[in-house]
Amino acid sequence: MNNEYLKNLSDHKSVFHKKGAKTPYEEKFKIIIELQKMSIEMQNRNAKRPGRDKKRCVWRVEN
Amino acid sequence: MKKTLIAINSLLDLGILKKYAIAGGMAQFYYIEPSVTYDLDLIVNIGSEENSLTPLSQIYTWAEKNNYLTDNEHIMIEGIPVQFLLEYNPLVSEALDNSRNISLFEVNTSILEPEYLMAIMLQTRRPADYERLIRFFSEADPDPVKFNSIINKFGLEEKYDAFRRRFL
Repeated sequence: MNNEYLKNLSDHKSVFHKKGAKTPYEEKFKIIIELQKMSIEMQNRNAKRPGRDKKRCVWRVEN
Repeated sequence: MKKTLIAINSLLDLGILKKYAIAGGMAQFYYIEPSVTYDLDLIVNIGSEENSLTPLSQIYTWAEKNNYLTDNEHIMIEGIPVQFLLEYNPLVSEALDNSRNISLFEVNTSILEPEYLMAIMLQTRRPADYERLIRFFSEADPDPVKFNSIINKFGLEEKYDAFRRRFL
């Protein structure tokens, strides 16, 4: 794999994440709720793992 | 979150809070891509030295009157666990003084500026803070002059140098 390919890949990823950072906050909020759902689901599937925080919950919000 | 912000703003109207700003993860994600977080941190100025042993007591009384459940340091306000943090050091205090007025969900609110959030992350030095701080440099377009000025003012040069050598 050549270095130019890797550099292009890195540059494109950087642009992608920078664009993601500019997403409107209201959209980011929805993403956070979805991430909470996924994270809680994974926690529940690994219930025996130490360090599980029972206080963590999905926010119950209308918007 | 709209209802949560409206409820928090009512604390200003009631004179329970003098000033507040969104901090922590929910402030960071205003400037960078979001990742998972479970609470809404607020830096608050209660504008009074009274009740210094229980400075947040008025907020907890307000929560009880409004049927907002409390769980240790969190108050569940309209579905979101909110943590009220007093200005715990000069950096945080200055960050609050210089917080930015914005509108979220059509509600006026206040949020810490990115350069102050970065300095606080550098000061706090939790693994999650470092991970997000790296992303601030690549995603948030911070003002380098302003950031360096804050770093110098609050004696964070060594921590920043160590961070930069390791991660940037």
